[in-house]
Amino acid sequence: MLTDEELTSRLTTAFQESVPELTYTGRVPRVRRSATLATTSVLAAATALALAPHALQRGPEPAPQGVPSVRPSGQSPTRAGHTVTRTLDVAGLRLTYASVDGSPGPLYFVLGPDTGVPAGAEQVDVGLPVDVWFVDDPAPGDPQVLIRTHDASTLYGLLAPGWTHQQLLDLLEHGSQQQ
Amino acid sequence: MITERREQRAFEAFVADASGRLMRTAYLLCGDSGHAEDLVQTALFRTARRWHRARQQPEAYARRVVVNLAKDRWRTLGRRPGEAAVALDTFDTAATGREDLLERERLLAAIRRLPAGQQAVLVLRFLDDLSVAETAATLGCSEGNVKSQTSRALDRIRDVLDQEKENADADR
Repeated sequence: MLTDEELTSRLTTAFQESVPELTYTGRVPRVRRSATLATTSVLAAATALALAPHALQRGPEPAPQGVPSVRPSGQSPTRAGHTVTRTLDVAGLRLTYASVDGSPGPLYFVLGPDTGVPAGAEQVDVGLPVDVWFVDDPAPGDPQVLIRTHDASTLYGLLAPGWTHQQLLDLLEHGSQQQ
Repeated sequence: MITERREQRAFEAFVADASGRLMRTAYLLCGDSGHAEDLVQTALFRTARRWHRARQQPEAYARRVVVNLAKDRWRTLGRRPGEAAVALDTFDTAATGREDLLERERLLAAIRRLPAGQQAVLVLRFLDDLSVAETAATLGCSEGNVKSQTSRALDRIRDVLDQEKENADADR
């Protein structure tokens, strides 16, 4: 029988040798050093949001199913501190938002047809051909909703790090973030 | 402005130093490199956003976010993260014998059968080499909880490996 020491030693080796060489190739965001800087960035973001087009349309096709995780489509590379408008197609909705300071924006993932809505999720009416539920935030300041079209059983998740619940709701209701 | 640039350079140095380790942790927690990068990107964004607080221990802060996002993903998916198997071709087959390889795969398979919380404890303690106290802080639980989860996980892995060994011996 293996001792704890032998087993933990094997675990360490197994972990180290089973993980491929992984390099982070994503964006490096800009820091917010102080409250003053944060305020400035928020103002910049607010201005950017005001410029974001308020467009909500039915997407031409539902988002592809079976995709485990997808970044927003139609994004273009941004330099830190700049703002671009990005479009996200999810559950047949086309959502537009402004990305500021290298923010990754909302991330969506497809949960598939077999996943149910967890008990305790709060359903909200956004007046769209989809059902929307707020679920517990994975971390403070990272609101998350689940979305399901009325005519399809596939469940989608939409996570918006750094957004408020209201901003996320506005994005769904109006197709863009609101101030 | 100078201070801001200095802080940005410090943050970029942190990313250059720690992002690979964060990616490895995220990979073992969620099971594939694409999701791992999503988790790390979100964690870096949140660390940057709260840099004035996180800068004392940025890697611990970012790792906490990675773990929280992974935990949330497990809850949302309603299944364990390890179902995406670690590919065998990630092993250095030239440097290890076939028996070693198989034994390691059996060990990883046993880990993947553990509850998500126990897997997280093992990854943090034995890949990231965190102490019990650091693991508890990362997971937001007590040190006693980390110890009991570790003990239970090791017992279960040992049971699985012993059972497999008995079966293999019986087949010979």
